[in-house]
Amino acid sequence: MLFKLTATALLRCYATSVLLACCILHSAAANSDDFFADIDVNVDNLNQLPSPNKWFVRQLLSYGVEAPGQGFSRSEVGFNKIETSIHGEVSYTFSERISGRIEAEAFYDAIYRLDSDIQPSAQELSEFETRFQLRDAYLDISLTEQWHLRLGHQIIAWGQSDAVVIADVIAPHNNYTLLQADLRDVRLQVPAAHFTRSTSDFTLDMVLTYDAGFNQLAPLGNEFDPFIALRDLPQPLAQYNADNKIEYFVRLKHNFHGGDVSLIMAEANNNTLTLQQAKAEQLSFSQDRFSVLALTSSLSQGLWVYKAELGVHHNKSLMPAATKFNHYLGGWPQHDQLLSMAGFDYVGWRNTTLSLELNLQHTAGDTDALSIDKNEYGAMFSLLWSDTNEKLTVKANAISMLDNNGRIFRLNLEYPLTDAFKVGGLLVHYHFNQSDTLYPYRNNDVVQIYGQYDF
Amino acid sequence: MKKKNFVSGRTLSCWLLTPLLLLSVLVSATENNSLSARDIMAQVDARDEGENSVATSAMILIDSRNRQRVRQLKQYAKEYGDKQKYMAHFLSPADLKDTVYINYDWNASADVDDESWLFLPALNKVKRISSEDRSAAFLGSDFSYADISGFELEWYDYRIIKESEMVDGHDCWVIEYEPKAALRDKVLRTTGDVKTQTWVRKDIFFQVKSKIWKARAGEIKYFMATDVEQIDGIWTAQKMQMITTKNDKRQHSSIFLIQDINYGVGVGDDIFLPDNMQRAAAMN
Repeated sequence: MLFKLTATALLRCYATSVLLACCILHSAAANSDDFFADIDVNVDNLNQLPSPNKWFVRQLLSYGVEAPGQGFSRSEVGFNKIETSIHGEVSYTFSERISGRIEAEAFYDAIYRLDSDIQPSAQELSEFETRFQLRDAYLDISLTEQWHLRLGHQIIAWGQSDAVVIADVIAPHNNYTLLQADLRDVRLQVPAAHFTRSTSDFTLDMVLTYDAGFNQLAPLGNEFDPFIALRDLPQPLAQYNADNKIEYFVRLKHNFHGGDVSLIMAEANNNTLTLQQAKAEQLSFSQDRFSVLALTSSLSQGLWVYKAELGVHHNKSLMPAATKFNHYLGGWPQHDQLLSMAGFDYVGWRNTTLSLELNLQHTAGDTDALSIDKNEYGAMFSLLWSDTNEKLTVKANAISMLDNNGRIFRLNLEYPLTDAFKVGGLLVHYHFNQSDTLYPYRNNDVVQIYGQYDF
Repeated sequence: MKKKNFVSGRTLSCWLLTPLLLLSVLVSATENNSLSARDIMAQVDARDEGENSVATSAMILIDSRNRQRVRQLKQYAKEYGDKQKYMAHFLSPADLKDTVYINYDWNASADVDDESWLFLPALNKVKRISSEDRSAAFLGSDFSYADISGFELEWYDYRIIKESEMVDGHDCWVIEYEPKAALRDKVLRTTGDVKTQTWVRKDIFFQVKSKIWKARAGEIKYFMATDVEQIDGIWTAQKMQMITTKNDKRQHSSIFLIQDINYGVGVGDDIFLPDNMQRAAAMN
């Protein structure tokens, strides 16, 4: 009986095993075959081309995780920006030779100067509480087969460096916040006539700008008020555009297999304001005039792209040391500067682009009276990782800044919930020592979250 | 009388042509049967893809929860003898709109690296990017750059593992290829592909199905090309899908749909110049 039971059990067990094995094999085979099955696409409007125009609204919440300290209008930990913005761009093709584009953004900060002792002027409110920013308003005109003209307000970015301004001297930068702005908002437009002649080996760019302005600066008492160290002085501070409003820029670029090299020359106004005159009634800041001669290059080899940039800024006004400030009330001293960058992008590691750039700045002449050392070193490390299917994008930067300006760490994550709606987060940490020029801004760390809806 | 003559003439033609046709089919079949795996793949590699083309396409990305996201693009391609130039301009979604990608795909005989550039409208800047990481996702999809640019004939050893298998009613060879021993490290580094099995249609030397073993443990990709039609004389797959699996489970997949394609329409050279990318984005 026991034997019979055991035999039956064994038989059942064997039969079950065979069945199970068959099922597993069948299932494996079925799984494998399924991967060649046709996938149904359930997407509407595929036959319609998308509109050439684009709009999005963005809501940003920014939280200051530290109190900025004395002199700043925000005195406590808390929200420092609740900003709603709308972005629009419209393109139109008039003919085969002429097209046009307008792109602009409007921002509204719902808590601007809330709980602040500083009473903002109407002009300040129109610049920072409700802000309108034109990005592009230009006509593209094909003059001949090879000559093209872009005429109007436009953003022009030259050079290879992401950390230092060497050849990228045309577009003023948005310095309202330090490395918190979305990448698209870092550079500001300039009114320009931009002529281009391109062949397969050479490209010649000639740019003429008029009244292009200077870097956008934070207002009095704001977290990145660039004049915070001077606010205790009795005189008010005034900012002026350059006297000579016309700037010239030329770039000749040669493309060869695997690389390119560009020669850039410019007679330009410095986009960083410098002291022009200090009087009893006012400190006047304006743009000084300087010349730029620069070489930039990039070279692709295997999984690496090497980048280099070398430039001379001739007759550039530089900030004196705090102890020597009173010696230069008629204008800051002018020096020649040699700036350089060497770096690479590497793409051989798991859908990630790793970038490193090293910066060196050498100031000619006697630099004892300056706020910077004769030789300054900087570096920037970046990581850009994107999941397959681009579900999650991670951007991280660590920057060691030139001019004794300390270090900044930035982490940005973005996740698209749908094609039209994405959410993101940004963390910026500022690490400035007492000897750093940016020391007053050491407590401006922020955490931001945002959502963007495209339509 | 005329009618008779016509019929007679037609019949005569039939009599004359039929054996010739049969003979040519037999010769062709014999030739095809005598082809080695490498010969077949050489024919696949040499297949006419048109001197130039302009296409409007959609890339549909499908995640593990079957959520679909669509990006539409306009693509231009032109053959230059020693290289093929390719430009993709994103039309949607909004956050990718006006991103432009250019690639110069040099022939293996040139023995030089391919070249790629990316124009990001947010930065208003053209960036040279490495095109050697062919294992990277093409436009964020399951297709890698290696899948898109095609295989390098000289990198692999080929063998026929099945002389005949029907796929969608078409007779196919099943060919397996692996990197040559001397090039294994290079091929793995650049494509990430360990081994590929591919189904090649015998009538038109067209890859309609592939199974690609990736270097990452347990990862296999499955490729299918369907809606294969002759457009302007060029055989074209209007739907391509790639499914990425890990340990026999689907991770995510992508579908590339060609909505409209025109060959031989006269694509200018300017559109492939990296320094024209910004203007090309604005003009399209």
